[in-house]
Amino acid sequence: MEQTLPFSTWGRWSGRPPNAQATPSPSHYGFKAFLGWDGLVVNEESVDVVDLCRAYMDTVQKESCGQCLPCNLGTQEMTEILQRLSRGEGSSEELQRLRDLAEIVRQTSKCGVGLTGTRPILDALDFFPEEFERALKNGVPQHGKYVARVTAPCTEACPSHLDIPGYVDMIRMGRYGRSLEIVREGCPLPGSIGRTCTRPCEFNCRRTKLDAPIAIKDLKRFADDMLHLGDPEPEPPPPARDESRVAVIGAGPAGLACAYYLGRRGHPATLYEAHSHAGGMAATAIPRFRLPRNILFREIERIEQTGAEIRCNTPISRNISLQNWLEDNGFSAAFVGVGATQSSRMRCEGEDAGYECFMTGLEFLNRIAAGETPLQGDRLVVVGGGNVAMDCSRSALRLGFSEVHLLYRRTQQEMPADAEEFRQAGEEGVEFRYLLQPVRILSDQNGRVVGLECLRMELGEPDDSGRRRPEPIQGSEFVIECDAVIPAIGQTCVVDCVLPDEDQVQLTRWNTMLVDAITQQSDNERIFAGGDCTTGPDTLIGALAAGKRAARHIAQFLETGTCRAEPDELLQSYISELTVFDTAERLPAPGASPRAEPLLSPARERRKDFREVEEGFSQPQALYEASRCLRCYRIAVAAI
Amino acid sequence: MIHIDGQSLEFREGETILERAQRAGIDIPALCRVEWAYPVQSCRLCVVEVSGADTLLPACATCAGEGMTVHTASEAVVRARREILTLLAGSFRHETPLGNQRGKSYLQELFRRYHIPLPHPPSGESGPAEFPTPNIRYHPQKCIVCHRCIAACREVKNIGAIDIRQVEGKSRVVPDRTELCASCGECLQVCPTLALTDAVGPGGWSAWKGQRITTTCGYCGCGCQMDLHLEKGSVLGVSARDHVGVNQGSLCAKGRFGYEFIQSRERLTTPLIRGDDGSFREADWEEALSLAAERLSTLRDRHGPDSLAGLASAKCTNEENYLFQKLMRGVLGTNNVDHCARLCHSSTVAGLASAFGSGAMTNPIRDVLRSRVILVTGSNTTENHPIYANYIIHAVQHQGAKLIVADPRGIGLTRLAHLWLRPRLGTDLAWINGLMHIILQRGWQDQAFIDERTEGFDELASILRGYTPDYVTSVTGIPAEELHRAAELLGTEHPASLFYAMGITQHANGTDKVKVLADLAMLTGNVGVEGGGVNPLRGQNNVQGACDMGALPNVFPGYQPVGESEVRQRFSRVWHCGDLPAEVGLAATQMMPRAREGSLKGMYIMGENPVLSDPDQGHAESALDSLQFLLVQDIFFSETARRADIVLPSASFAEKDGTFTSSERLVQRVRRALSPPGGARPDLDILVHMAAHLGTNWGECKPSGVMEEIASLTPSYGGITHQRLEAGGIPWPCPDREHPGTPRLHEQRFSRGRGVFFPVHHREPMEQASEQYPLLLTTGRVGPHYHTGTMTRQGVGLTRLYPQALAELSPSDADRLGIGDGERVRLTSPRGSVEAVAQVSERSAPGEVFLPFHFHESPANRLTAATLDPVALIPEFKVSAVRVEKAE
Repeated sequence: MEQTLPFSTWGRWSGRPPNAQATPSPSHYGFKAFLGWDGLVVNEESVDVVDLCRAYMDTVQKESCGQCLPCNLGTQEMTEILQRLSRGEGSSEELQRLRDLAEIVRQTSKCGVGLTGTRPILDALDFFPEEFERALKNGVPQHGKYVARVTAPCTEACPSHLDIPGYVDMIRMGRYGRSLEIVREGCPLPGSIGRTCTRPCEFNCRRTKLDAPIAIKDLKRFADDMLHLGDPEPEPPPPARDESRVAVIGAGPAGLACAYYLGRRGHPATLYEAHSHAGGMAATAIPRFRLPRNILFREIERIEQTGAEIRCNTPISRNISLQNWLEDNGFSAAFVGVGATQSSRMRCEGEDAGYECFMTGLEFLNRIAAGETPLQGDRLVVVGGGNVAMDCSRSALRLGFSEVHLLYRRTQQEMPADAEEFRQAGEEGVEFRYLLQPVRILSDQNGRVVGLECLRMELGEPDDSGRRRPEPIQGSEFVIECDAVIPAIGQTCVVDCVLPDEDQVQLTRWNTMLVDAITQQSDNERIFAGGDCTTGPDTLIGALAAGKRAARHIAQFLETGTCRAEPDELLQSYISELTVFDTAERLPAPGASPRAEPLLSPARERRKDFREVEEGFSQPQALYEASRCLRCYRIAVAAI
Repeated sequence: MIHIDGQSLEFREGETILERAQRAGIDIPALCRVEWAYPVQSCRLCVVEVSGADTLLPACATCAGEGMTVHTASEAVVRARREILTLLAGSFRHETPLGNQRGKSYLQELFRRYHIPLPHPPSGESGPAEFPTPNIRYHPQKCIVCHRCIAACREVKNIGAIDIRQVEGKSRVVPDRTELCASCGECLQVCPTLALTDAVGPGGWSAWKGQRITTTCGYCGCGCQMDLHLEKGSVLGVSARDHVGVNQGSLCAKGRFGYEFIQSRERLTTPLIRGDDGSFREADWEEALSLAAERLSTLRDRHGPDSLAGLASAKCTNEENYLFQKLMRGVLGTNNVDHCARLCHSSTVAGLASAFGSGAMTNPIRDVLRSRVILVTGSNTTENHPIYANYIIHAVQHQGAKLIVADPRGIGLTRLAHLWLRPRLGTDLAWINGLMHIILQRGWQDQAFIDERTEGFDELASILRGYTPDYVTSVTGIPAEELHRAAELLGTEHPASLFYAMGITQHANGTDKVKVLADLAMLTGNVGVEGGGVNPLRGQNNVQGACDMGALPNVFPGYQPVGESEVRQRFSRVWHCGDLPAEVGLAATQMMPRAREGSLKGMYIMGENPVLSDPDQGHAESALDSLQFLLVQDIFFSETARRADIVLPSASFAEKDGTFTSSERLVQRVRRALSPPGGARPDLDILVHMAAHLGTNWGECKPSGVMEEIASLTPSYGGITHQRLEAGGIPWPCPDREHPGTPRLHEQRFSRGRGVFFPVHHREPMEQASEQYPLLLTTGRVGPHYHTGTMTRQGVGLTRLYPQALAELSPSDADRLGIGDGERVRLTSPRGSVEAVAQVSERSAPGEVFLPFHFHESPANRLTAATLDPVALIPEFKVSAVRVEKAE
């Protein structure tokens, strides 16, 4: 090998100088070399660069969608040249042709497949010319083993790694059913996620550098809205592979996803749900005006059609060993997805006094979901700056509160709530009050809330999370008179369906279950877990992703008796470490295609009841929005 | 300011580099561009160098930016284009085009311009690959996978019957949703190579040989401009030109593949005279014309002029229709002249003339691109006016217009609609009144428009009170919620355009239905505005023109009443004839009963086929048989011709010069491309000779000269000459030679001054379902066929797309009757029964059956009743009670 190892050109195309030492090493993931959209990394002498290029171009050519001429034809010819080269049938003219083609495909292609797909070939030609010369004479002695992965900045940011450019493209093509099929590869609740996702993808959308990100969430919802245009029926679940049965504890998003993908793999699951219906937080904590129940329940029904059996009102007993329970009930494995259902405490005087008209945000939302009117009055104070706080505030307006004050101890900038939710809440009349910390709940002699004493704050030095820490201004106490107080400052976990010692499962100091980040397996080989009960309160899509990962590895465990991360998952992890979204990249031409906005009913109308606020895209809007996608596909292979 | 090749140019917001460069006359190659679709971005030949970019950027999809510097032909750009073209040249089997063809050769031109040597095409060719329609062949080896066909099918037509997939490692076009394919050939039109070829004609380059004659399509009223490709007196194929005419390069299955009839062996080539034994013998023109003239004049002399009647033709030119009514009125002395508009839009002419003062489409179709709301009712637009449907699709898909479809049948547009109102058959008046009720109640009416431009509003308002949503739901079956949504769209979004066709007009209260649509448009201030209007879609190529030319019993050309003596005098002066008849003549639907009862003795039918097109076929047949003399002039030996005494062979649209007036009131040229077969003659020549044999010499008549005469007598055609039309169609009214024409009617004032609101109540259809006849039949057309099938059922192109009459039954009715898809069924009404093949389909609502009327072997009009609208005398084709059972 003519280059000193480890060798790397990674980062060359984004203008960062290649530096082998600074590039994360693929060997940490068990790979000898890595070749991808931004360059190549070689760690071991035994790697045949020409063969690596051939394997890579095979993938690129397969991924080339045929939607533009240079990529469609160019990558085809490049693949053929590399195949001839590895058989020892190449010529030096062809080597030059390979370089010319790589250049033209890179220069003129329509989407990321071509625009970035041939770059590493140019690197290989530049830095390993002798390997190519050798192949001219002798070919490649034998094909190595490789693993390939196709991703994109948005896909990478999605916890479930949905093929976003793929399903957006299908919408552009008017193939709504196929679009939905792609979504269901990584998300069994497209209609629910399409309404409520925190959309990490959109914050990693390259279109942002031109004008504004693609409305990915709304497009997903649109594909689901188009169900009536002949959505393919769910495939019948494959026949159960064997007698083994899997128990899923908790029919929230993580559990539902796990059951869905287990069903598709031929392992029907039984879900145990303590509540009267499945859906978890999506059913109890997300208000109907954001997620109508019929949408969620329709999707849950579909999951049942893959063979999952949901037993509602069936909490499994606490304080017994899960391992024993599984054996007693004939289960071979279990997935724990019990969520984070305990509200965090404000550490504020009067919190535990049992005052009337004081309740946690979760309880408030749960009871509304159950059809109750848990609080009534004129003025309400909600404490917190996350989505639950927004949902409580907006729900309260719909219950008839004329004034809702939302208290947050930092400023708008630090607020964790989704910007869109924040905007809609503001439109509906929620009053935001920043830099305030509650210190004492005031009540009348009947124990009924009459006010909240607060302390003014100022921002100090940044804390661990990078946000500036709010610090109290001494002596700034004052009272907000109100009829009710709702704290909505976060949730914590209570995993009480396992006994750590007897089940040999580790709990963290936050009371979450400790599991492998890829396989979701705990220390007990039969017990898997995922969702909020392993991560603390997190996103819906994160829970779905964990459920899906667990399903893959539960199946692996049931079928092979072992459980370990597969090469494609390791490659995924490596890619995550490299990062896909290039924050430093600058796109040259300005864009002038404003993002399509779904219709909203007017704020004055919508705060009257719990009807859905967003109307979703119309067909032309969706077609237009989908056509904005740049399809920033990125392709990589690793040598095993 | 953007700097392109050294020119500093202002640009519009959102304009692409390609658009801006083209405006400045800078040519950038753009192979994959499809008008009316988002940039396809597949060919990458439009790449340009943009300052600051590290790759080349596609000009078609890159927006112009402030301070941007662009080089459209730099060395790097040219190198890239050459590389791509070289890749292309080596990737598909190309063939050299013939010298004089255009349009198809763009790719070849690029090869020449960029000096790309074309390698010898690989020898041998495997057969064509599977494609959704039998009328088009797909040759994968010749396909460059440019995606133009895909974009055209999906975005221009809203169909998506083809897709690109990998087959054996190579991308190619594959059928995807074959059942949706309309065989329109939009894909064929946009294909830049010979990968897609016409499988009806010779196909390939040979279809592009010889001459091209641009003319106006002879099928529906869209008025498409198309090119007939000709060699040695025969038609090789049909294409359209990209930026020409209303169709802008688009055509439908009939226009593109329905040309076989022109050269059919079934064409009449010589006059025929019926002998005493009842059989026909061939005759020469002199004998046939003398005999015909003699028989006609004998009847006139013996029984008076009104014992004769004539049917002019919506398929013939304006000049011919003009001469036909001139012959009937000026030579034979009767106003008994009409044509098949009686059967389609006579209620429109009557209804809109009363409300607005003019009975034609108020707005050009292009206006719909400005509409915010579009209401389509009683029009299966994608099947019957496919090119107008293109505009509606574009308005919805690209301009964001909201589409409301009100139709008992599931039609192509319901797939696109935001709201589909599905009324019970024949209850249109109720839902339209219901919408107006809600609009008034919510105060959404355009009061300023009502006050300033209309009369009769109070009367309307008072009758609307009864049309509460509850009542309307009980009558129509449309849920109240949907009525509210439709009313809200129409009441709060402006402008809104209304489109309708036979589903509104062919009722015993058709005139009333047209009037309430006019009410709805005026109530919401949508008349005389861009993007608004009341737009009747006319069914035949020249049905508008035949009406304009006075082929109607009550008016001379230009709707000048026969009852006004001043008008009669003006015409008799120019026609050099005696007094013209003042009494209104018989309508087509009155002629048949009069013939049967004996007071009508002789008929002259030019290019119409009433045996199949009139209601109650048995009645029509016996009426024609009762005549003492029947003269038929046609291009085929139609069901009607078979009953004639003398048959005269005439010329098709491809064999004559003249003009057609489209549904948009656009007068356009028809050009002679071929000679008529054998001894057949253009209708105009026949009419001139007929007049001469009847003793009136019209002198030498050329179509252009006839148009001059028309212009001199018809104010709305006053400025129209053939010469002016060479530069493109002109919409009437066009009063003088300097006038550009009037695309939009009623802009400042209504033709009659103020618009009139007509308060009209709902009435149930004349025929109701009964125990004996439990289903309701509605008749109509299907995409591949046209009227009585005389043209479209010649040759294979259209026949194989839809070979036989299909009776569409809802799944629930089919279930109940035990009828399976594809089984033969018998439909029986009080008038008769016909057999057809059942098609079980959600398109039909429960309780309703659809049967097309194109098929002589399953004549739908044997079932329909001759129940007439009292004003327009149009039959109620759309509702008849029937029974359906399995045929033995």
